[in-house]
Amino acid sequence: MTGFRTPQGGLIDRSKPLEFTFDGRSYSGFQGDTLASALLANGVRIMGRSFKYHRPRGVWGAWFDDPNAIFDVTLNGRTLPNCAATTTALIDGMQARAVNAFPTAKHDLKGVLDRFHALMPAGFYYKTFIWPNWHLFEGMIRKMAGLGRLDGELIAGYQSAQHHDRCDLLVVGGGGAGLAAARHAAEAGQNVLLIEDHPALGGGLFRRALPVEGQSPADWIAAQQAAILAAGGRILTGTTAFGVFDHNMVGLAQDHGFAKAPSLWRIRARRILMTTGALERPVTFANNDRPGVMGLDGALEYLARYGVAAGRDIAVLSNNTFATAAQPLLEQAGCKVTLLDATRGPAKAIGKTLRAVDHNGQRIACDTLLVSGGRTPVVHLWRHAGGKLDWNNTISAFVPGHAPDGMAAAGAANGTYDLDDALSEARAVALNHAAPPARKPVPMPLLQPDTNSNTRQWIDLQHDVTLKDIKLAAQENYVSVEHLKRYTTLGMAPDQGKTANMAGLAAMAQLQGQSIPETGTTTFRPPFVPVPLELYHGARRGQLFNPLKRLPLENRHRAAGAALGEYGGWLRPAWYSDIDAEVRMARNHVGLLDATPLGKIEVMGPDAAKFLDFVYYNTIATLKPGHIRYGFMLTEGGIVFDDGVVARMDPNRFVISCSSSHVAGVTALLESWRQDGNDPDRVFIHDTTANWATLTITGPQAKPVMQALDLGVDLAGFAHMTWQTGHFHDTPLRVARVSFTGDTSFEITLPSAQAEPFWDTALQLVQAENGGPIGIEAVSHMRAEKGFIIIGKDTDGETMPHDLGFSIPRRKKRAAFVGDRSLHSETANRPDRRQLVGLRSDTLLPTGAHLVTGKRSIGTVTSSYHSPTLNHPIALALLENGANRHGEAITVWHMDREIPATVTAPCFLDPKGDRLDA
Amino acid sequence: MRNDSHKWDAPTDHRLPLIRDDLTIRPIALHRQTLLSGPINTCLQLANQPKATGWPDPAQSTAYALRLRRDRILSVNGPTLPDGWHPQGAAISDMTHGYACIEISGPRALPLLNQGTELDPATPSNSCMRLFHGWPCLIYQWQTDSFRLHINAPHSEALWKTLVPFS
Amino acid sequence: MQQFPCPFCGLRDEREFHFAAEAGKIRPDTTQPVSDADWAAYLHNRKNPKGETREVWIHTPCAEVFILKRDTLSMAVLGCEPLRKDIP
Repeated sequence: MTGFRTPQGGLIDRSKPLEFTFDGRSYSGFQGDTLASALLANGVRIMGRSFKYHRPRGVWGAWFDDPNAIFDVTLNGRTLPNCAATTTALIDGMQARAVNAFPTAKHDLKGVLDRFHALMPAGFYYKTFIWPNWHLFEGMIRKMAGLGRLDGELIAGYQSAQHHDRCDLLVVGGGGAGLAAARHAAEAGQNVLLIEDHPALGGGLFRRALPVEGQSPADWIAAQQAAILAAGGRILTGTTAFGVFDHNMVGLAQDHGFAKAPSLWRIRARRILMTTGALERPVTFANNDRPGVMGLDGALEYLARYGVAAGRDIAVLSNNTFATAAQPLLEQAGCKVTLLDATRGPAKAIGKTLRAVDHNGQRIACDTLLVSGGRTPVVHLWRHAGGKLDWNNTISAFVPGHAPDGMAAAGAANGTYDLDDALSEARAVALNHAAPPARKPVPMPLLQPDTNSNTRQWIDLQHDVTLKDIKLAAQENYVSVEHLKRYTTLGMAPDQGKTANMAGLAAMAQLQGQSIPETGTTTFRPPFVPVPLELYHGARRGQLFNPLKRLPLENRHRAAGAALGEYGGWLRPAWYSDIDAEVRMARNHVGLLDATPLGKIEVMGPDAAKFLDFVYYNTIATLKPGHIRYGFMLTEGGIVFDDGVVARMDPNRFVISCSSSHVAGVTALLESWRQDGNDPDRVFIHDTTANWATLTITGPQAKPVMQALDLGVDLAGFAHMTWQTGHFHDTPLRVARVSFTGDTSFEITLPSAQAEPFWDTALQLVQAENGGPIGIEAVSHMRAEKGFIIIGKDTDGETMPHDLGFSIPRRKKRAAFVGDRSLHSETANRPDRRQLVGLRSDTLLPTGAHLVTGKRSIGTVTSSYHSPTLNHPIALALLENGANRHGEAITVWHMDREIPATVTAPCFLDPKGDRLDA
Repeated sequence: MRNDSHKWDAPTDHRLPLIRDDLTIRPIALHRQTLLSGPINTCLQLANQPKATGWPDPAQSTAYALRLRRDRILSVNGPTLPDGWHPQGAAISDMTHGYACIEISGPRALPLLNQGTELDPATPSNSCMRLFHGWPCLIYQWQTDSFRLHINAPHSEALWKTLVPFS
Repeated sequence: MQQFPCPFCGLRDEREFHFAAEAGKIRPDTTQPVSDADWAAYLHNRKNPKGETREVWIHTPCAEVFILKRDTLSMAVLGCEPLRKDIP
């Protein structure tokens, strides 16, 4: 005989029948059922196959503590793998399949494996599948391993919302203790948040099935709920606290139904009250994994919540008085009940289909065996927070000991099992008062497994770990709990040993002749139950995964047909028509470039010059107002960190135009030195990059375009590396004469709100001179033709300024500056340092290729392009002692190919710089 | 050297507000935004403001100052000041176009902000600058149930796209 | 998610902070001769204590560079101090 639906009872809605299938067969249930309760009510017993031996398994429990009933569930075309049948609410039309079983849980082809169990003890895979080559077995093992089947389809809209929130008191667990505590605290004026993982509040009050403070459980629960809400408290059901993190932050996963991503709540709680209850503890005995062997609490849950009796002819094996209390409830449901005292010797389940239990010299006929070896308080959150556990000998359990800051426990989670004791304790602890001493402790003697027997006794149902495996571990000296766990895989399955850890500990303690507290426990880590990875995802997905900075002129670039790409964290035009054509156009006529990402960092104050002299390799203090100087910032190790130009506006004001990709890094570096080593009242740093647009007009026809733009600058007297103020209509702007292309070049900086009108005007004038817009790629080619470096591309983590040909400050600058001492270290003085050179070759050299002598790498190719201006390949490289090797032949090595090249000076076009003033 | 245009949607029109029953998100065009750094009293005096708002005090009027650092404020719709080092001892930079301003109002405004950062009116802070969805933003109370947010203009497209799906 | 105190802004999410350096390291005066050993110690040697530590951190939203006192074992945050001497 198997499970059946009782004629009345349960919290289900019997007016709403639902249809579903399991392993291909159709069944009915009711609104409020879980998949497990509905199957049980239909008399289905075998709901899965065990992981290793493929033994038939039934449900053990009624909630997250069940290790056996795991299904792939499909509904409306969406399939989720590895759903726990006990926590999956039944929905009309669900199709469920047992994982790890083929074709069905009832008739599994791999069930035959169990016959070979002697060959497959713990760790057998470390000792087999080795010869001749373990890779031969890999494919087969992959197929056999794992549980559910992954459906490759993405579920549209599967997105977890993430919220921050806070409260004075977070009560985790809405059973009797939690409800009493939450109400008491809320009515005392605290901001209370109560969470409960079931859809309904009440916890263990339903299965206890006795009046609570004179009311029926349902009425009492409703009264607390109403009072909590009336006092301004908040309640979240279907919500699990999966972890406690630093500084009293608690992670909650709020369920939203099948195939909908749960929401993440990050709750900062002043106090956390753990009223998470206690789990039924299994008993270790022969054949204890048979379908029909269930936890007593679980069976009572099925009865009270779902109106399902687990069987007809029930034997109860226990070491405590909860069994006595359960007897009348089961008998009322129509079951025959026999109580067995688990302290009176070992038991043995009889029959592949359970038909009896041998105990204490007797054979008792039964179709269902409910076990209760005590209770295990759910202390995981306590341990996440670093709280200690104490061993309580009366109830043979680990209970919360020394509390973490801001955390408390009450009720069954605290080892207080009597309800009246639990309610008093909860109310006191809610207000941070000392709990009154328990008046009715519930003794639960420690049950020790029969380690001498040769029978098969299960410890971890999910990972098929038996008592024999524990003995094997002890024999092979894996006796510490951490080793025991990893050697046998006990406690490593998705249920994280919720029903297995205590049994494993008790077995190992017995084998070692130790007490359980001496044996210890392993570490409890979040998440408390499996949560989908999506929960942690957040808003960063798709185009928001690595969102780029956007240009004010982006719509203009799109309209011009630009190819856009990421450059230094910005979305920029790579090219408009063709890179080579753009280079030729800019070299022969004129080009217009959107240079907006160039940093504009203002350094102001009476100490600005002194400060920049310290932060820069070059001497800045001598820079005159109106002038611009190219310079390097170094790290204290002497390595080039950034290059860029510094413009002096007036004695107390400089504008740094650093690499576009480096603005945040440079600003942070400047702020660190400003506040830690300088007087912060005498120098200030403003990153104003976002306020401005910068447009560059470059080429032999740049001056006619500037003339036509009529910005009010003195073009005739406009020296290279100087700047002037001007205006575009009514908007004041700055023009700097700097060149990254090597041609005559003007950089115009104006407020970004004027970018579009300026672009439109400038583009027309540029096009009138046979020019056009040019992208970043064209500019990269042109600067390489001149040997102008890009930091991080033509420099690496060892490049110092004298490697790039800039050695004067190293020799002559007297003032202290960042990195100064490092420039005179032994390493800095080596003659074989890698120095910037040019390379000429017949074919295009691969960027990143090594320069070699024999098999030794002596440098790398850092930039390589086909030069449209010169019509041949050019490259820049860092080469050992490169400055002294101009004219030498060199070998470039790449992917087993050797390419000949010649070392040149790092400049291929106009070394004298005549083109700057065309 | 790759054309990634197809991977990025064209920028949304940030002038269009988003309106629901319990939430409104709309762009605000501010007349002027000026960054002032220096001794705080000097900055306040130049900005013509008695104090600078942090969190959670509301800003409320048309011209106000926001406290960013112990020695920095953002003057909103304050007097015009020239960029550079002011002889009274403060560094000044116009940032009118550097920050995009978004107003978020309605009963769902504070919960929406709490999706991007831990923001509690009961935990005051001297500065209204914080990381919001990973970006540095100024967040302050504007009026009852309404808040204003300033973000570096190049990030505003990504921020707008982040706020909209959860609204 | 830890919370750290900024001397100006108060308690904030740890993600707003960035480690800068071990506190108490003074930069040698490089206008005078500095031995290789002293410079290397300044660049590379760290105390890395077990337990209470003083570190320089930066609170990135307000860019305050300050001293954070932490316990490297217990993760407890022991307090913060501004770098400036003139703050009460």
